[in-house]
This record gives sequence, structure tokens and C-alpha cells, in this order.
Amino acid sequence: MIRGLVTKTIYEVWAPTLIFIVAVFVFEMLLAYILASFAADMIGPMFQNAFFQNIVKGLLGADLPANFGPPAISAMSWVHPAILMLLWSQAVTFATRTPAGEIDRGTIDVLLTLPVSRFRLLASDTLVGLTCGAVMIAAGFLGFWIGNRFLPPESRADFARLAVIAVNCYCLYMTVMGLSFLTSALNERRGRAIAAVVAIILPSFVLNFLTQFSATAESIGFLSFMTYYRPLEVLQQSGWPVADMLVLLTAAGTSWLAAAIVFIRRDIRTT
Amino acid sequence: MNVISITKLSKYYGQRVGVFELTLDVSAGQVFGFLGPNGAGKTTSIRILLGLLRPSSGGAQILGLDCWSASPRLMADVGYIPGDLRLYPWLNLHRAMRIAGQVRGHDLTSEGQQLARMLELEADLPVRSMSRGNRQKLGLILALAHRPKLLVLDEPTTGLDPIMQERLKQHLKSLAADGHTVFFSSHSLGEVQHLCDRVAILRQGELVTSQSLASLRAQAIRQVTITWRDQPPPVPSSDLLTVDQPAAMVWHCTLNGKVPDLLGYLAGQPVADLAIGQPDLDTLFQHYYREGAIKP
Repeated sequence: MIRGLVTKTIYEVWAPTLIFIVAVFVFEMLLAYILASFAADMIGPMFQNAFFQNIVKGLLGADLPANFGPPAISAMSWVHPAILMLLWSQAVTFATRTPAGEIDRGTIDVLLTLPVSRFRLLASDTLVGLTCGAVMIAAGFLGFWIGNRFLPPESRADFARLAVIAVNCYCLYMTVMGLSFLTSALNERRGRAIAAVVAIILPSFVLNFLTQFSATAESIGFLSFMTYYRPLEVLQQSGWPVADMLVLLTAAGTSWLAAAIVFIRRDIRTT
Repeated sequence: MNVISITKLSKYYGQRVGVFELTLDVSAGQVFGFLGPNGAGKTTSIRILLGLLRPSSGGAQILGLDCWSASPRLMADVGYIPGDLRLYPWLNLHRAMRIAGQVRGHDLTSEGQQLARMLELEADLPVRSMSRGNRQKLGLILALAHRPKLLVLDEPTTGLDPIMQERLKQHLKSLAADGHTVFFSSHSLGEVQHLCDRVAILRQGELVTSQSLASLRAQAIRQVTITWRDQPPPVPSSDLLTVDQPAAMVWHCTLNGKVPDLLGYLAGQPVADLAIGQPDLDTLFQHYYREGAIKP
């Protein structure tokens, strides 16, 4: 039964998802090569600026090393706004399709008159969404690896540690997807669902920066989910950021469960 | 056995009444017409039957199962086409049958192709390139392909040309003859009067009447033309006939009573010719659609 729903979702999302996957792959490949090749000449001097240092620290989630070497470059490529934008855009556009998008365009009537529960419908969509996310991050990882191959051996990244960042990044992706499913379940218009999730993501992202400049912001910094994604710290340490990943997974799971409860109980009206 | 059983069903949208205390039964093998003007509560009732809306009070059952809590299970035996059908732009007949077949757990390709031949729909044409009529055909195939025990059709002939409408009606009749139940919603009497065994009429969320078409026909007025051989007789004192020009040699009148009563009145009168029209259901329905109609 779920196979039919997965088939339907794949028909619907394969083209945009493929574009996202290729874009993440290409960006990571370019970032891996460009950042490492030109870091010393171009980015290095900028690191002398305190303001710029704080911004990058906000992104990377740790104090910058005195020597801007391969770990910092690897970390930067996983927090680059373009990469985050691509991952989050895919998660948001995917997860707001069901149910808000289906209600909005009126296709949910035909969908829900198939012998399938709303829970299964959400679960099958989530399954495809999580697979898409995994493939996107794997494509990014592959792109980074290929870009890295063009660098001299001393400039190459530690791929074992990079895999840990990728998993942490996937947890972040799941959180954004969970929140998107929740706003989608609460809305009948897809545009409103997207606006609502952006209204959560954007302040969270901004709060993470503000923590570098304001003590007040720092005191509530734990509310930003970006606090639980610190690639540079992961590279500088040896273990797994288990606590951070658990926080992200809990946020993702709770949001998804809330989305499922709302969707199962809500009226599906004509729009 | 009742395929649909609705008891004191009400649905409110805030202060607005969608349906109020609707009670209705539909038996197996019936083609049931569900009529009412726009905004009468037909779509709300249908959405409750399909488990898309939760009733505010009362209940609805299909095949003995609650429409809200058992909706996914029920949908295995239900086919539905919404009044405002929307389909995915990438969908075509092949994909539709593949997905519906996988979800329903059996291959629908052959049945889908047969229906596509009947309705003259191209199998590879995607929805984005379809006319409104073709989209409606694909929606109908999705509703019919698994040969459901209950078909819920909300204005199903929208966009279909008269030939296709006729084919669809013949198909629905043959399904009903095989024991399938058809719940046919429409705001037009003309659409259902040659198809349905029984009709219910809704107005402003409330049931106005639910009875067989035969019984409605018996209540309906008929236009009668009587041509007199000689001087016309006096107009009957009862309310049997309404005559516009009693002095004329040809009466164009309205029969308010029954045909045998008319024939009784005409016996022994100098009648040259008599023409009795079909029961005027439209006028009767307009009466039900307006104020002052009585509940059954």
C-alpha cells in the first residue's frame, strides 16, 4: 500500500529534488576546492576583522583557530549559507506539500479517498523526504570529496570527521523537515505553511549570530536549533556530538508527531 | 441492507450551519439522487461520508462502519469523484492505474483500459494537457476502476459531452443492476430524473424530502391540453384543473390532481382531443428548493 504512495511522491518530486541534489553536489565540490585554494590569500586577511570573525564563529559554532587550515575550511563548506539554503529549501518545499499543498490545490480529495490512513500518507511522504535529504547530504559529501582530490595532500580534509558533520547536518535537516510538516498540518494554504516555517527558521538562524554579540541573545541561544550544529567543534574534537544530535532529533520527532496528530484529527475542507 | 446510514448528522463551521440533523438511508443497489441548490449542504454531507470532515453531532455509516473512524478501511469499497476535481498535472491514465492499483492492492490496468475505451480517453495524455472533460473522465476512471460497492459522485457529468454523459449513465445503471450503490449528487433535476430510483432534496443544510422518483412524479403537476368538440363544460369546482381561459375551445390547463380523476371528469364531456404532458418535476423541485416545503 505504502508503495503506491511512495510511487506517487516520487513522480511528484523527482525533478526538483534532482536539481537540489546536483546543486548541493556542485556547490560542495566548488567550495572544497575554492576555499582551500584561495583561503590563505583571500579569506585569511578577513579573519583579522573581529566582526567577520564573530559572524564565522556564529556559523561554525566554535572559536576560530589561529591558523585557518583544512579543518576550518572543511567546516565552512558545511555551514555555507548557500548549502544551508539549498538543504532547507528542499526540506521546506517537500514537507509543505502534504497536507497543506494537497489541500491548497485540491488534490487531497482524490488522495484521501484511496484506502489509506492519513498517518500512512504522512509516513510515506516522510520516508521519501528523509531519503531525499540523505541523498542530498551524501551528494554534498561526494562533491566535497571530489573537490578535495584536486588539493595537495596537506590541504585535504579529515573525511572521518567530516562524516560526523554530515550526520549532524542530517539531524538539522530532519528538524527543519519536522517543523515544516507541522506548519503544513496546521495550514490549508501552502504559502502560509512556508511563511510559518520560515518565521521559525530565520529567527533561529539570526539568534545564532546574535549570541556572538549580545549577552541577552546568548542567554536564550539554546532556543536556536543552529546551536546544535557546530561543525568546527566536531572537527576539533574526537567524539560524536551526541547531545546536540539528540536535541535536534527530539525537536524533529516532536514536531513530526504533532504534525501527525493535527493531520489525523483535522477537517479537510474545500479551499 | 443500508449501504449508507446517516443519523441526525450536523456539521457547523463556526456559527454557520453546513448540515443540520440530516437523517438518510440508502439501500444496496439503489441509484440515489442527492439534490439541492448550491450551498444546500450536499458537499458537506459527502465529505463527512468520506471521512474528510468530522461531524459536529450525529453520525454517518457506510456498510455499517463509522465514516470518520473507519474511513481508510471504508475507502476500499468506495469510489468517489469530487465536484471540483483536481488532479496532479503529471498524472496520466497509466500512472493513475499504477498508483491506485498499488495502493488498493490489485491490478487495475485492464479495468482502467476498458473504462478509458468507453469514455474515449487517451492513456498517455498527462493531466496538464487535458481538457476539462478529459480530466473528468480520468477522475471517473479512478472512481470506477476498482468496481466499488458504493460510488459517491458529486456532479460527475461536469465537462462531459452529451454522448459521454449518456454512456456514463448507462454504465451506472448496469453497476446498480449488479448490486452496486450509486450516490449521485447534483443541483440539476434533469441529470438525475432518468437515472435515480430515489432522491433526497436538501435546502439550507436541512433535508426537505427523501422519496422515490415514482412518488415524486405522482405529486408533480402535468400540463394538459383539452380540445372541445362543442361548447366547453364548466370548469370542475374541485382543485383538479387550473384553466387559463375557460371559454376557449382549447384548454391549456394544469392538472393538479391525478390522471384517473381527470379521466373521470372528462367522461361524457364533448372531448375532441386530449394531450396529457409528462409530470413537471422541475416545478415541483423548484417548489422544494424554495421556502415552505414540507418534510416527509
